[in-house]
Amino acid sequence: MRGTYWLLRKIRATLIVYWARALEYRIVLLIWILAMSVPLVMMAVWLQMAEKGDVGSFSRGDFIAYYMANLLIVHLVSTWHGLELSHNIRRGELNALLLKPFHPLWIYALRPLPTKPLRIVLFLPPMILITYLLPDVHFDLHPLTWVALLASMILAYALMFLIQTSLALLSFWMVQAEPLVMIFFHLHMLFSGYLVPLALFPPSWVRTLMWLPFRFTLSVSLEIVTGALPRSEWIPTLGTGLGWVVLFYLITAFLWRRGIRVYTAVGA
Amino acid sequence: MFERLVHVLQEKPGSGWKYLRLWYRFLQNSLAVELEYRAAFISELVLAVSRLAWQLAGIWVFFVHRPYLGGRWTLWEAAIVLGLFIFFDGFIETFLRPNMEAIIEHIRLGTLDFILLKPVDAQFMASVRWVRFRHVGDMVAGLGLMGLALFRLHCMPGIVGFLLLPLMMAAGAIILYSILLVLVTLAFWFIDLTNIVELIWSVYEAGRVPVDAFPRVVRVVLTFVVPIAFITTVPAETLLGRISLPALLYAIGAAALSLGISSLFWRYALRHYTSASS
Repeated sequence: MRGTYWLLRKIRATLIVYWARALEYRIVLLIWILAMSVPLVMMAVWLQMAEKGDVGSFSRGDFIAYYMANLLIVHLVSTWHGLELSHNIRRGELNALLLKPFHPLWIYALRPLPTKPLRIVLFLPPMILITYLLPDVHFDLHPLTWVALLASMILAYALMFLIQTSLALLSFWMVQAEPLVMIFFHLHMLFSGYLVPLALFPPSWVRTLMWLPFRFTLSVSLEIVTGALPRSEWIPTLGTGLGWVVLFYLITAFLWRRGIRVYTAVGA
Repeated sequence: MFERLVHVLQEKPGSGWKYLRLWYRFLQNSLAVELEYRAAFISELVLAVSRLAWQLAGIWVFFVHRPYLGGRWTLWEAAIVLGLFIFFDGFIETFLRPNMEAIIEHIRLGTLDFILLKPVDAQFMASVRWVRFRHVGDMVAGLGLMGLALFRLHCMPGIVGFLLLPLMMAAGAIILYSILLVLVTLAFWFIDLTNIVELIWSVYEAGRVPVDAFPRVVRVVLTFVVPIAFITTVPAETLLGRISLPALLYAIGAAALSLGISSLFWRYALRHYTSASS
């Protein structure tokens, strides 16, 4: 009981510190949000293709809804701490974090969160505007959907964090773990629904992609909010996502325990 | 190394040879710096292949649903455009971005004075001083993809296509350089530009697909306002042998015009440069 109380206090303190830092760099944040233009490029191409009839199960409105939700949600469920963590381990910069009375991985996990409200403020108004102005753009905004959406986003963030962490922790043994994290980013862009809705891959691919962890780092949230995922499948889908989270949690915990023993504080 | 640099610098100003030899020394110097980071060099090569794979797969998904992109581009024809996009991405990272970052930093710190004092053209120094060789992998990967695409198309471009391609790619490179120079020059007035530059580079992302694949408004913007079309789509059309003479002349004109405007802007800014105390 007392342990939980202290954990919550520490979480709160970390969030407050990094909220202050997010405000310091608000312009930089704003620009980084706008600079992610690849999904917009993809949307423009799909829209032109859909002028002559639906593409797969997607109408023009569906594409707009999908990519608008994508622009907001990808920022809410993302963390890119993997490169930094790997770097910090290799250069011995983890030392400073190890001295704090809080698990370093907790700090890495909490640090991106205070920047998220800014993104909601920035993206939600245009999204609402588009939903009302364009006739064919539909989101599922039922209260129950919000609950499922929130659950899927928490799972997505956890999974994104744990996969990257487990790759980055290999830096305890390897000199060059950053490329592994980068390759994960490349796979993630392609198979998470960030670039292209997963449903538009060929059917044989879709069957595999439905089960790979990438889908649960973004696509599930988009499927829920655009109404593409039937309600009856919410529980099994979220359950599968939870399974991946547990698996990568175990891997991360194992690697951390082994790695911290071989850590020499000045790099491998 | 630096003694030799100084030696070249002391030669008579204004001769083209001097600039060529100077550039050769810059290359040597950059390579020496790069060789300090050999592991990074190797992993960049691996990443170049991985980057190429996801980008190609991203384009391929369009062709699952339609045989043509933008009404006439087949998969491997679009792959040539993507190859050029990746090539120029590598070109930016190798030749343009290191210099851009260095100059913005010089302006911010006031150390630009040291460059202006050298008996060499300042624009030359600002544009070609650094080369980041580790990103050459992307340029090679881009050219490789173009080669593979031609092979898959069973398309052997005629001698005209082969001769015109370097010309069109040079025009594309000049347009990219000019956009960059204008951005860097803005740093004379606005101190911290790095992030704005990120934002504007993101427009370049549109170059990964042929311009015909975009809705009309976007197409017009990418052809006439920010001439991204000339960097990837037009050279690809050249290679496929379906470029018209007016388009070719327009590309060369656009390159010359943008180089002229950006150079004038740079000179205008230099005249108003008041060093760090401003």
